[in-house]
Amino acid sequence: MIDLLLFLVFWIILSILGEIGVSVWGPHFYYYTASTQALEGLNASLFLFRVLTPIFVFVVLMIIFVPTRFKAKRDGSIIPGKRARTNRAYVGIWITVSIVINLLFFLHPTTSAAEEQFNQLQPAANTHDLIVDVTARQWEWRFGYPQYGVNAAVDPAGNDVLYLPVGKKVEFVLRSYDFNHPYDMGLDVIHGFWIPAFGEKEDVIPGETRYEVITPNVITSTEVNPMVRVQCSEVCGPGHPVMYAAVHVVSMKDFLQWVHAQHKAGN
Amino acid sequence: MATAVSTSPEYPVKRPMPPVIRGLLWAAIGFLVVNVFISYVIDPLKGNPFITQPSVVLGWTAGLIGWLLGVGGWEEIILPAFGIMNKRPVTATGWRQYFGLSLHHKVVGIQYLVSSTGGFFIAGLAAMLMRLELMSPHMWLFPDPGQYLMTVGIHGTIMMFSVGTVALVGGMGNFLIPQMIGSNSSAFPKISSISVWLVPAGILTVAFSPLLGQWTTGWRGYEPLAQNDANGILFYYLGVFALTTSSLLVSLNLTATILFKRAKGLTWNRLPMFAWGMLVVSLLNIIWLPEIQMTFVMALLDRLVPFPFFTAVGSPLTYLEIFWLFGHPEVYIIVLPALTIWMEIIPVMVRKPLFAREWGVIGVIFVMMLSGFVWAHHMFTNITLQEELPFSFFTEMISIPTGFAYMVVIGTMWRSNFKLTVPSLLVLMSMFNFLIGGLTGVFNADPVVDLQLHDTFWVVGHFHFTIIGGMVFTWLAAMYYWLPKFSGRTYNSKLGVLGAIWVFVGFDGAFSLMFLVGMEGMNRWVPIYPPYLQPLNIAISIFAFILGAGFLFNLLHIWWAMRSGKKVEQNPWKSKSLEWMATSASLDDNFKEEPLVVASFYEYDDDKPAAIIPQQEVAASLS
Amino acid sequence: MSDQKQDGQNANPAAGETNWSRRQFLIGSVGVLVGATAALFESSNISKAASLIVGTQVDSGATSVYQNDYYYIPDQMTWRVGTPMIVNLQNMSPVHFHEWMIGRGGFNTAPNVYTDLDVQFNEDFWDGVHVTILEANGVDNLAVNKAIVKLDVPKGPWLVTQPGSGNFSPTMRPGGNIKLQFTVPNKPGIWQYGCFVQGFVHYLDGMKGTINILPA
Repeated sequence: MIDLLLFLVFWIILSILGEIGVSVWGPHFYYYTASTQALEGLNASLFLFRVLTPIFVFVVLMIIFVPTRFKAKRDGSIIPGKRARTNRAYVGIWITVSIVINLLFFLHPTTSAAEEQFNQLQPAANTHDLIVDVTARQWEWRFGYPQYGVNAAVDPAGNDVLYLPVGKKVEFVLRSYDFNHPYDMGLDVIHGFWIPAFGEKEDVIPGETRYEVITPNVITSTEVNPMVRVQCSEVCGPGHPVMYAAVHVVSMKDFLQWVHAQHKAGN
Repeated sequence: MATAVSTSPEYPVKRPMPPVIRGLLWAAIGFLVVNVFISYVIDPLKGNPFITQPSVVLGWTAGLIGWLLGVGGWEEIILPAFGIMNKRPVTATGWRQYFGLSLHHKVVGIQYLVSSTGGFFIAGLAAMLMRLELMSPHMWLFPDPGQYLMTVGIHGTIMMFSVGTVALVGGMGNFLIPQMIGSNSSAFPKISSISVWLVPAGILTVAFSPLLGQWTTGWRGYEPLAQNDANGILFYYLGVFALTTSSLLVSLNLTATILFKRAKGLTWNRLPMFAWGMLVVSLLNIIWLPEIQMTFVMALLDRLVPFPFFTAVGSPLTYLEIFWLFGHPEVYIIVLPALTIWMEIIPVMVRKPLFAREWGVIGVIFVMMLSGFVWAHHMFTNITLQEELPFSFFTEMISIPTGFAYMVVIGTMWRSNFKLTVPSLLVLMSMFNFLIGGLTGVFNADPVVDLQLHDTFWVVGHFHFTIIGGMVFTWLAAMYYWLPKFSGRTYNSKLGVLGAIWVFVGFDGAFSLMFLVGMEGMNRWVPIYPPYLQPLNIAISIFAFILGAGFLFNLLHIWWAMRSGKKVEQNPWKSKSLEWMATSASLDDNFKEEPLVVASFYEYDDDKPAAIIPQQEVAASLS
Repeated sequence: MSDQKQDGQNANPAAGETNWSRRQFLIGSVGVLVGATAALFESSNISKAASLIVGTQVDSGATSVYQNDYYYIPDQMTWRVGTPMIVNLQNMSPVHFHEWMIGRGGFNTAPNVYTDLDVQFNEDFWDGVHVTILEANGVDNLAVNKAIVKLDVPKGPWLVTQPGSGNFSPTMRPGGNIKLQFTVPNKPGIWQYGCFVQGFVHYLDGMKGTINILPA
């Protein structure tokens, strides 16, 4: 009994310390966030950290507690007397707790976050979104703004670039084909559209049109933080590591100015 | 009868060719003949290249057949099948037995272990090269990104298919299972004798795949990118086909062995935990390996014919679906034997009966069954939202039966007489690392978080924690624990502890930092990355080199211990399991007389044996 | 199984004589492994060393250049000024289109976010060279730049003559080929060739070669 009490005391103290650690360090888990979707992911993972900390502490403490507390006194000895082959309370609690925790995780954050995603993708909720056509080919991203008549946005150096207005819901329309060589289907592979600071990635699949909804909530750019960049996340051949593009999240006014400049440049 | 002929003095002594050399020769002949026939005669291409896709595939197949026949399949399997028995060569003695076809389950087990170890260090070398390259954000070690990606693929493929699925099953399984269940051989010794030679063939095929051209897909060999790559991908499919065939044959043999070769009294309730592990893993192999092999055949035909199964005009995602349909059970193929090895080692080390044994068995069986329901959690980024939820559900649920292994081991350790030895230390380390692998997996199971984590170094850290942490640490524990079974000798405790701590520090340093670098925006498969990620990558690389050196240290220590470690008695751990009653460090029969199992093997609260040799009992009672 | 056991137990000194040779085994297997490893890591150096020893042959008349993923066969050639040439450029890839630029004097680079990529050569070998297209199948495009091109084949939309479209470069579709007839101009020295398509990644991935043009 004294073993159990000692263990419980250690467990509770260390779990509390762990939870304090989660509170301090947890909000930095995503390093840098620039969209409401990233915040949702961060909150979900914070919840997971909270629940998992005592479990982690329990097992790790066991691994350390047992060899120190129950260290063998004599070599190869047999402990006299009957030893527990099973313990209904322990097994019962273990199984119940593990089922409950997993069901909990499925309800929250899994299903609750999925519901949020469903809602965001509802057509009715997306009537005033900014639509950005994202086309991936080996090995280049191309960004078009059909509502503004911009076919392929490029910066003055001729590189593809993504500009987004802050605070507006953006609907990325993801397609994978080679717009310069549409006859060559063999070039169409799966790419991954990922902006690390936006906390979400979706694969771009040949023959499919897929959608990702993001609401950028900070004015930022690749120069401010390199996590704000478009990065191909799914291996797509030898050009995969250089398949990235710069991103700028700007105010609506600056965005419209930029669109105007793109028109002037004939893009 | 064969020996009678060869030992007669007037019989002209002609030294046979070493089986491995003859295998290589026959393989070369098979390859050249078929390859030339196809590339020059049947199906020449423009410019008359020596190697074409069909020629190299069929040539490789002929080469593989030549290799298997050459190493001894001809005399041991083909000719006897036609009733010709007198062509068999004199059975080699000494170390030569290990370099030819052998029907002895211990020899086959050791052959598997050596092949796996070879694969482990080849793939490990590839990992070291990758870490060296990643110390700079630019290309500097590899001439181009394609070669780096190919190295990633070779590393993953060899590690998964020749180490992860092979070391504990083909190696430990073949070596231990007959001894553990009181038999002198496996059920089908010829199957294992030939299947083990597929492993070096498969490893070398994958390792030398760059000779055919670059492939950049990683260990998945996934479509449609594989269609886009040069011909090296062919050797990926073929090499993996050889390796999975080997695992499949081993699984058939182990299943039959456990079903039919158990000693008297070894009921299902007394079956050793490791045998349970081997049984469920074998069933997983038998269910899922044919599936992935057929997928690879389809992918091959996609290139050769060509068909459009998985290309952009076919169904690009189908390959990923059916790859992961196998690919996730594969993870449990790797880790289930390890979980059951914990349950073998811990009761012996803590001198206490195995706690809640039935829940341990239920756990591995439920993991086996659930493992087929979770595959699409590898695909949250490319399936639709409504598909995510069921897979998320089963992925979260599978942690429950996996957790039973922890419940059993912790229950066994609680209030025990814990003896901290190198094997038990390594089991504790393995439990710690696999716990991290499992808990980080909870984040991956949650779609909204996984959309950020997927394809980053977080995932690399996660699955290395499950596979190295779960399987490789346990493999080391098993090697130290069963070392006396291999050689009658034991390791040096101080060196063993040093080796365990060494790999633990290197491993946990390298792979826990991968979680951070992944969260900071480092994605997978990039030899060129934004410079802000360099400091963390340098730290990871340094720990990785420590880890690589640590594995080398353990290899040398185990090698040294087998040759000149301290000699120990038959049953140094005072274990009750049957394998410790069998002969050690010799290729004689395991048991002169069939043992009779009279109790569970894990009753460490008395000194009564779990099995007896009936004849000896009778003799003892008479005297 | 029982046969096996008897063989093992009956092993006598005489049987040792019939055992296979250890030396043969070691030399053979180590030799194969070393040879294969050398082929794996050093094949390009070995072929370079071999061409140094044997000496390269000077191409003239009909020559073939094969484009593969992502390398050329051959990846080194020797031409002589004033030699009439017919180069058949053949794309062997079943999937990728490939081009063939020849130039020297460094590269134009595209500044990208983190890496500068080589886009094309600064000096175009084909400037002012008379080229006749003898055959063209499956040509994706042929940027002419400052070469003087004569067609022996029907003109197609693939012929790009407008200025500013980059160095002279025939780009082949998968399986396509083109035959270029020309006389090696008086531009001796070491020239490089390469394929810069698909976001300049083919060149990054090692699709390159050298031509040594000898003075007449």
